[in-house]
Amino acid sequence: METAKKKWSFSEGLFTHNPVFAAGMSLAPAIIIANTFHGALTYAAVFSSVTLMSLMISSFLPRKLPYALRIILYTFIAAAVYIPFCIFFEGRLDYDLSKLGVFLPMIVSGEFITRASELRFFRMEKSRMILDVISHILGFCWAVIFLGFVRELFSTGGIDGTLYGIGFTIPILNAPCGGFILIGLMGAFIRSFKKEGRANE
Amino acid sequence: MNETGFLQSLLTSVLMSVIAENFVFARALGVTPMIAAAKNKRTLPGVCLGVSYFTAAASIAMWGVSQLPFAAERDRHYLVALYALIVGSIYLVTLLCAFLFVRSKFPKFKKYVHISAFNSAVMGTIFLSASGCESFGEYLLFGLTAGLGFMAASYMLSGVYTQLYSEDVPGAFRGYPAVMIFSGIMAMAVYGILGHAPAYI
Repeated sequence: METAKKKWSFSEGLFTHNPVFAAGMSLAPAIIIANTFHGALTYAAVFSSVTLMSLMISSFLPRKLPYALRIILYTFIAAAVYIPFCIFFEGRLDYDLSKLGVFLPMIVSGEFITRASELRFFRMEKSRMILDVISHILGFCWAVIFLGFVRELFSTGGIDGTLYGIGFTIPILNAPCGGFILIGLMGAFIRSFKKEGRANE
Repeated sequence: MNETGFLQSLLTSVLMSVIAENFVFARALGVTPMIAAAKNKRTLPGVCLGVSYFTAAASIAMWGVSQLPFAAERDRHYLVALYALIVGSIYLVTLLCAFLFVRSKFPKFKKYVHISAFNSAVMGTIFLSASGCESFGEYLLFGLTAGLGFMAASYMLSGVYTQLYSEDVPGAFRGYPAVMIFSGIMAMAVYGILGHAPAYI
């Protein structure tokens, strides 16, 4: 337990255990939604609010409940949290939420809520769990916003119609295949960075 | 339409759904369970059958929901709770049936059910069938082809899985980054067939 405490660091969720680039969590929105900067920003806002609140509430469920029942309850709690947040965000953000399609309601059954909660977050003590959840959510957010920015900029030459003088564009970056490949390249970059850090230690 | 014409159109739509609109490579749904399934060739058929069962069952359940009077209001946020209830119910009923009828194999069976139930492939089937299907046949075909698409993608990845994790792959790319780049190349091939990404709304 002591060793595990020492090993944990807030930056894990941001970099070395980044949900998108290293852990392979919530990949569908990162591949499909994160092809425009504003779409990614909007998704990140809704995702972080719904996921954080759902996980905080779900963490109070007794561990004595059977696993199957716990997972179903986590999804229900997320659905209950999703509804008011979605109503709150509608019209307040500078982006039409309906453009996010099925990926927005699918937050309620995402890997953060149905998998990482049981395998990682809820196995920690409360204070650490909160920090770990925040770290992973921030990690997810920077990953999708980065993907949205890079993919929109290099596939269209600009952001939201404003051109930035990018002479060489790669339109396929906008497609799902561009998302897969960029995530793979970023994953390799983070891993090589991690190895370099270890070698320096 | 005569029998040959019907079979031809059925075959075309199945091939289109499994290859060109593949759930994993074209829609990026079920990427994480695909990686988990491809890891172990012994458990691969079980996970694939499990996911296919859940996509088909969820799609049939969605047909039932579509017959209800309030189902026409498809943009209502509260429907998310109903969809979570559908997956949760199928999950519980499946576990209960397994416990009652195949009790000796229940511990093994349970693992497959857990992996297969709550993932983006199943939730994606629910949301996409709700917005795109009308008759019972369409719902059933959509659910079955979603599962078949997942199966095809998992078997493709399984064929190269050991190579992607082998010592021959440079350290930074070995494993997850290589899997994502492989999926990107497959997604590019699929994108080339259809020429555009399938709709998500």
